[in-house]
Amino acid sequence: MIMSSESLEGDITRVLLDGRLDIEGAAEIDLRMNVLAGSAKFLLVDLRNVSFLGSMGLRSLMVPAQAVRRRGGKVALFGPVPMVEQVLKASNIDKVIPIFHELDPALAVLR
Amino acid sequence: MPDSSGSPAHIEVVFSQRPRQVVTIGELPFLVGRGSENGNHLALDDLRVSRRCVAISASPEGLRIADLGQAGGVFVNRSPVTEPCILRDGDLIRLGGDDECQLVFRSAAPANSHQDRRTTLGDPPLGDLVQGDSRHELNRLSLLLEATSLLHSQLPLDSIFATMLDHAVAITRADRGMLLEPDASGNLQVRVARGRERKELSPAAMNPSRTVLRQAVEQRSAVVNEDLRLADTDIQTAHSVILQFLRSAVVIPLFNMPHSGEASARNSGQGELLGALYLDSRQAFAFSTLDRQILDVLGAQAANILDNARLMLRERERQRLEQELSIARQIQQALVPQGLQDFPHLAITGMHRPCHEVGGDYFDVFPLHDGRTAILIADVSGKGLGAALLTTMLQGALSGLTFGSDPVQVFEHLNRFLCERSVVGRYATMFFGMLAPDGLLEFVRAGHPSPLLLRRGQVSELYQEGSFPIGLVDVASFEACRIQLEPGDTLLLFTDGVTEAENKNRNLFEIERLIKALSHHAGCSLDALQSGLLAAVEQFTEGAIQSDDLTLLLAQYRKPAEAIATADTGIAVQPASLL
Repeated sequence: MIMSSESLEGDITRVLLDGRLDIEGAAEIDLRMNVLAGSAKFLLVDLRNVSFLGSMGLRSLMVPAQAVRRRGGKVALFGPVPMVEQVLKASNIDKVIPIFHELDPALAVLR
Repeated sequence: MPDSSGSPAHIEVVFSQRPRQVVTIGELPFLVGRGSENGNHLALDDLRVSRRCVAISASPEGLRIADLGQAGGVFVNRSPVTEPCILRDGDLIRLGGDDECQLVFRSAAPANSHQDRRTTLGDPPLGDLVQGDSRHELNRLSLLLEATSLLHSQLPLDSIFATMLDHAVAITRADRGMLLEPDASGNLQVRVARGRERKELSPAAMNPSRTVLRQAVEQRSAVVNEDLRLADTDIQTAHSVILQFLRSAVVIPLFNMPHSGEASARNSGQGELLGALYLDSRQAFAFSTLDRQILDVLGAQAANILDNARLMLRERERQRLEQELSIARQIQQALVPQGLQDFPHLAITGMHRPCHEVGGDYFDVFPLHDGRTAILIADVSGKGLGAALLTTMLQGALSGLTFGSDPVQVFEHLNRFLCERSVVGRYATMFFGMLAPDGLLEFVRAGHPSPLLLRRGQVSELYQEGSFPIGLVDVASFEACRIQLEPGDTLLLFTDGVTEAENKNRNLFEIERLIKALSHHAGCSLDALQSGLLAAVEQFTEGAIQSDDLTLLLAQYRKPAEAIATADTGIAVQPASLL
């Protein structure tokens, strides 16, 4: 599981995830995601290269996302593959965090 | 009294500046003193001993000792002998005011059979060790230490280390011996310390020379330092060296080379530092005549013991964990409904196959106070003990629904409870259904895949929309939905371990295959249906190892007239006619 982040214009932090978000993948990003959530105001989670999302992986996304929201920030999910999107929707995540397949509307929601 | 086949009572003479000596206590009273003029049986040619020193004589309680006029007094274990006192094995008899002249009393010991090595170990005849040439000592030492390593699993570690140190002290004639082990940050700390005559010393009170230790570890070989006062630049240690009158030290670094068997291999620059053996003496040049080979053997054996000890600790820890996991599994299995009972309006069968020792899946079927039957399946995220703990908690919380509560409220409460305690790090997906005798199924879903409904050979899902799991999203809300079942309808509840079962090519079983297998077995009995579904999954995975629990629950609605009749009496009672 590879994780990197970059700062975009408008106080947006973009997190790029690459790999399988299974139990092991989740454990690899947990700490860094939480650190990021402690400082990011607007968080864009780029899921385009995540090929699998398991239950622990879902938690690794949701715990930091909710932390950002609780501090008054915003979170958007970007580009999940069908398998990942299906998992997100089965858990109603799309009802609390918007999912986008185009970058511009995602950034627009955060700004 | 003394067993003729064992060793008789004897005295070990431990004087500074003199070789050790072991003397059997023969004729009683047994007189000790300087010269033999006064009829001394043990004549010590040493000016520090008075001509008439002590007498050992028989008494009803055993051998006892009396002071005959030793200058400076006689002390047994540091207590002055003012009147005759009984001697016990290992008693330290000090002649005069300082520790220069000491005797160790050894009571008569029964014969040690060859098989009884443990006894030998616990009470090594140190006197024998110092007799004979070094070759003999070496053989003796190897033998004893070999026995020690064999006995690892029975003796407490510290007593093995103490025994090893006692031998090292006896062999080298040191005053003290210490075994040091690296702490978490790699600094060597004293673990066990022993003085002469198997005297226990407090590890915390030891202050070994750090300079010599460092030297030995860096050189990866034994270092003999003949004058410690010159070795240490560290003021505190140097101070303690002077205070304790320590003059010489030997440090043997211990590296793990368990299978080399060659002492010289320890110098080859490989192996992890296990610890160090540290021996010191109040005398300068105490170790100058020590055979290099003795140090090598001591080091090799001590390293071996330390290495084995580590392995043993790891093994014990592994066994402990395994045992706890197996207890958890037993509890979990005991909580799963045993021998699923059919209800008047419901036939039930289910199976749970955990992929690990304990898993996060569970199902339950239980009667509700209003005549309905609860059917639930849950999947806790993650695996192992943590998941099993949350599973058990959920099961407890939900079984309370038996006495009536709104499941939606219970779900919302559980969700808040878990979100507020996010450190728990787990959440659960769940399907909770309540089936009334008239076939009305009310259900609450929490992020769980939809059960499949088999009706007249056709398979459909109860719902397509998503729902929040329990304990993942703090703002989650839940709702109850209803569906009318027809007699003969079969519900298949499952966890994603079924649809995500993988074959060797990492392809997933997927919902489509499950639907196909279910419709293929339409019309079969529930048990046949369950075996058919399982067979379909197994045929697909071809024995590939699964990473998730596999759980199935099948419930078939039937409409017994009698069940409806009894429904208003409270809990549905199964009429005898249906059995």
